[in-house]
This record gives sequence, C-alpha cells and structure tokens, in this order.
Amino acid sequence: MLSAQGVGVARGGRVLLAGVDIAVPPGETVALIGPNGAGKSTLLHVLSGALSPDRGAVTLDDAPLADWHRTALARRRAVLPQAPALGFALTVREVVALGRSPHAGMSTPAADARIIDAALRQAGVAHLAGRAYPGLSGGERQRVQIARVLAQIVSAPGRGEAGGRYLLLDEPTNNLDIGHQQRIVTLARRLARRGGGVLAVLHDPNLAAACADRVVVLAGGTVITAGAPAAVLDAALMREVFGVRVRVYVDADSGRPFVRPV
Amino acid sequence: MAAVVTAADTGGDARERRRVIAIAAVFAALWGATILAGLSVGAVAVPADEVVTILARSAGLPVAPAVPAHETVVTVIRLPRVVLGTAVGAALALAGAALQGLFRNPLADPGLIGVSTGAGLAAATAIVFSAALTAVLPFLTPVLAVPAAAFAGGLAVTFAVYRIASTEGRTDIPTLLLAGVAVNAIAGAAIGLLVFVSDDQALRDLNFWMLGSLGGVTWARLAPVLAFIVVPALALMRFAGELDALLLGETEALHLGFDVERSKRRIVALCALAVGAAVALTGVIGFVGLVVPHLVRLSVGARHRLVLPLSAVLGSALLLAADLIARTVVLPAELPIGVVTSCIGGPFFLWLLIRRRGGEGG
Repeated sequence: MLSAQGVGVARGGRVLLAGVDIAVPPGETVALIGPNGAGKSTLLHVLSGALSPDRGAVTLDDAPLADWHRTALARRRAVLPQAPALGFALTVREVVALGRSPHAGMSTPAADARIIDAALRQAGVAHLAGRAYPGLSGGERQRVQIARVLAQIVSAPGRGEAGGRYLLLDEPTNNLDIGHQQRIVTLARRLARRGGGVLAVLHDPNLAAACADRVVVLAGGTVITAGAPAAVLDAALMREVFGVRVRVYVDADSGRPFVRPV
Repeated sequence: MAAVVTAADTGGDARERRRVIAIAAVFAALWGATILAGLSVGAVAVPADEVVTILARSAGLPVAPAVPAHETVVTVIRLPRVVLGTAVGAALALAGAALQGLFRNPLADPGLIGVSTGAGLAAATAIVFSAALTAVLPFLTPVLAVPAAAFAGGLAVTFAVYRIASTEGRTDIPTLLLAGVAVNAIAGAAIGLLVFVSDDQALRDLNFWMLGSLGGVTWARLAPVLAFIVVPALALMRFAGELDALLLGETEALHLGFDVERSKRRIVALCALAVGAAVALTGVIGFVGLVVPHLVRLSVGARHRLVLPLSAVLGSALLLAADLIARTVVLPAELPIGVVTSCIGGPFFLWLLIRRRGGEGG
C-alpha cells in the first residue's frame, strides 16, 4: 500500500498541504479531485517521493519512501507527467524504452523489447513507434508517456519483485478525446484489477465518479472528504468545494453519480 | 495483421542497426584518415606507408627502418600533436554533447559553464604578468604557469557558477545557464582589460592563446596533462542513461530512479576537468563542442549511448582536420586553429538553423 500520514508542506510561508492522510491500496483506483490550487499536484509530488514533506510521512508497504532504494522504488511506482516537451528528438519507441531504465541488470533486451511492444499497444501508439516524439500532437505525447510509465512498472519474466505496482497520474486525460480518455480509464482499472494501485489527479468530477473506486476531495490543502463516488459527490459538496450549483443524477446501470451545473 | 506489423518493425530495427554501424564506420574511417594525414602531411612530407612502418616500428615490430629523419618528424614532432588533437577533439565534443543533454539546450557548449573563459582569464593574467610572476616565483616559467593557471582558473570559475546556481543541494539548470552567461561576460570584460594594458609581445601570445593552437606540443608537455583530459572525458560516457532520462525532464528522471542531483554535479565536474585540462594546453577552441554533437544527432538520433562515443570520434577527426588546415594553408606560418574551426563551424551552424526553421515551417 502507498500511503501518506499527516503530510504537511509549506513553501515561502504559504501552507500547501496540512495534515493530509491518503492511502492507495493495491487493487483500487483512487481519484483526487479539487479546485485549482487545492494542492493536488503537490500531494502527487509528495506521494511520488519527488518532494519531501515538512511534516508527516509517506510509506510504501510500511517502509518510508526515503528508505527505498531509488531504482527499486522506480520499479514499483511510476508517475505520469503532463506531456512534457523533450530536449532532443528521441523516437516514440526510445521514449517508451526509457521506462525500462530502472530494470537495467534485471532484464534482458528481448524481455524489454516485448514489454515495450506491449506498452505501445496498450496505450494505442504502436503505429507511432518510429516517429519523432517532438513532432507529435499533445494527445499523442500524452499516450506515449502513458506507454512509458506502463513499461516502467512491469518486471521481466522471472525477475518480478513482490508487492503491488503503483501508478500516479497527473491529469492523465488532458488533451485526450473522449475515446482515448476512456482507453486510459480502462487501462488504469485493468491495472487495479491485477492488484496495482492507481491515483489519478482529475479535473472532471464526472470522470472521477465514473472510473474511481474511491474519490478523495482536496481543498485548501486538506482532505475535505473521501469515499465511494456515490457517497461523496453530492450537491452540497460541489457548492462548498467548487462553488457551483449542480444537480446530481445517478446512472441506472452502474449506480454511479454524475453532476450537471444548473 | 499483428504478425505483419511485428515483422516490419523487426526489419526496420535491423536496418536501423546496420545504418548506425555504417555511420560509426564512416566516422572511424574519417578519424583514421585524419590521423594518418596529420602524421604524413607537413613541411617534410612522409608517405603514408612510411608512416605506418614508423608506427609499427615504435610499437616494437621488427620492420625495416624508415629514413631516420622521417622517424623523428613523425614520432617526436607530429605524433604528440596528433595525440593532443585526438584527446582535445574528443573531450570538447563529449563535454558539448553531455552539457547539451544536461541543459536540454542545443546551444550549450563547454564554454557555457564558464570553464573556457575562466581558463582564458587566468591564462591571460599569467601571460600579461609573466615577467612579474617569474620575478616572484622563478620556477614558474610561462611554459608552466600559463597551462597551470588556465586549468585552475577554469575549475574555479565553473565551481563559482555552479555554487551560484545551487541552493540546499539542488542545482537549478536555467540559473546555471544564466550564471554561466553572466560570468562569461564578466571574465570577457576582464580579459579585454588585460588586452588593453598588455605590451606587444603579451598581446601576440594572448591573441594566439584565445584562438587556440595545437602547435608546439611535446611529449614532455603532453604526458602530465593527457590523463586529465582523457579520463574525465571517457567517464562522461557512463552517464548516457542519465542524460537520456534527463531529456524528459529532471522530475521524470528522478521518477525513473536516477539520482539527478548527483548526476548533474558529476557531469559538470567531469566537463570542467576535461575541458579545463584541454584548454590549458591548446587555448580556447570554439565550435567543436557545439557543432559535433549536432552532426552526430542528425545522423544517429538523440540516444546518448550512441551520441557520446560517436561525438568523441567525430570530434577527434574534425579537430585533426582543422589542425591540418591550420598548419598547412599559410606555410611556413600557422593559423590559430580556432580561426579554422569558427570559419567552418559558424556557417555550418547557421545552415543547421536555417534548415531546422525550414523543417518546422513544412
């Protein structure tokens, strides 16, 4: 389990996070929602280990992140950035292959090649494999990055380490059309079904409600509420946190809520 | 369908590998040719086959001795120069490739972290005040003082630039770049001031030094410095994985399990060592570190596992070629090699920029 206990972060006298508890258990997809400036990205950075919190602790399988060897940690959790630019023109395949770096010495070129191929297919970018990354559209870049993080957390056959794999996704559906949004959501849920944990920062409460097992609502650097989408997303919360008046509908098939501003 | 795609991909992979090997072979052949030409061409022409015989003989093979005078020309005069050219060309190109990757900036060159101007300023100080220096410390002859000062100055200025850009153990790459630009401007002004107060002889020495030269090198001068150039330059090749990951960004490299801060520190330190030692012997040679990595990326892509070693080979070849031009076009005099590299490198770089702009427009 990847979890944070009592995490606090302050920068330049401004409190970004205060007393945040959050857990991403294996097998669950957790959506982190909240208004702009709520501290969602900061919390993602803290959970990834890129940012050390001023207070509290982040643990993976009960061991503090600081005690993990950086490459061992990298084999267990990957972070999807918001479609970064690239210093120089690598090909799509080369970008995805970077995901295999933490497996150096623990995998073979043939196993790496198979894992990279699979990741390219899953993210729907196999046809772009030979293209130069800088020439891609924003949505294509996003999918290539998804392929890269997928390739990062797969162990070579026979070299698998115990414990769940964790994906931290920062706005994974930005720049994506509805078809590709759905594809990413499906990928996340499939990973969760296989015992992985997914934390996704999402802007769209409806997407969160549709895909997450649990929704965590962050505002002003603290967790307002957390729970199953149907229990969390109601009109009062939407007015309080986002300042919008909404009507809440419930999907008859899934029982999941969706909201519409009125 | 899937099988067809896989087969096509594999075919593409094999083709790509063959292409890379062919390009590497071309670079290596160029390097070999420039070494041979460097040993054979000059005031006393030594035929290529005789050069090979002389080299075999110095390697201990029992071959027929060449004309004795030719042997001296090749092994005592030309060979140290060719070795120096190879080492310095490789070091400048490797440092350029590593720093362009680290800065994620195609305009980065070894000079950007302040090592060249730092070395230049210290060397200029040593040249202009050589009389005073020798008066105080008699053992410090200009032959010794200038390279020693250059090496120390290059390292000192790089360290200062690095410290300015670092807070709490983290180094901000954009700040490093800007600090380098600012410190280069300050050192440049100081060099200008030294030029202003120097006499004719010092001016001549200074000018020659600022434009670089492989001339006048002997085994005695080369031997103690060679390891300082070659070892850090070769050590840069171990950072190929880090540099590839850094192309994605620092946070992304961190998430991939790389110790980004340590890598940055080591890459800058290795570049400063290699370039500082190179500059100490040859003066400032521009454009090799800037242009060579671009040429390599154009031919084999951006993966540092290929870019770093091939930059070293091509850098050596180009510097040896430039030296060949520098010492033959105005015989019996010599052009500063920096004039040659800038003459070729400047227009080439412009062509590269125009070509790239055209590519983006299309």
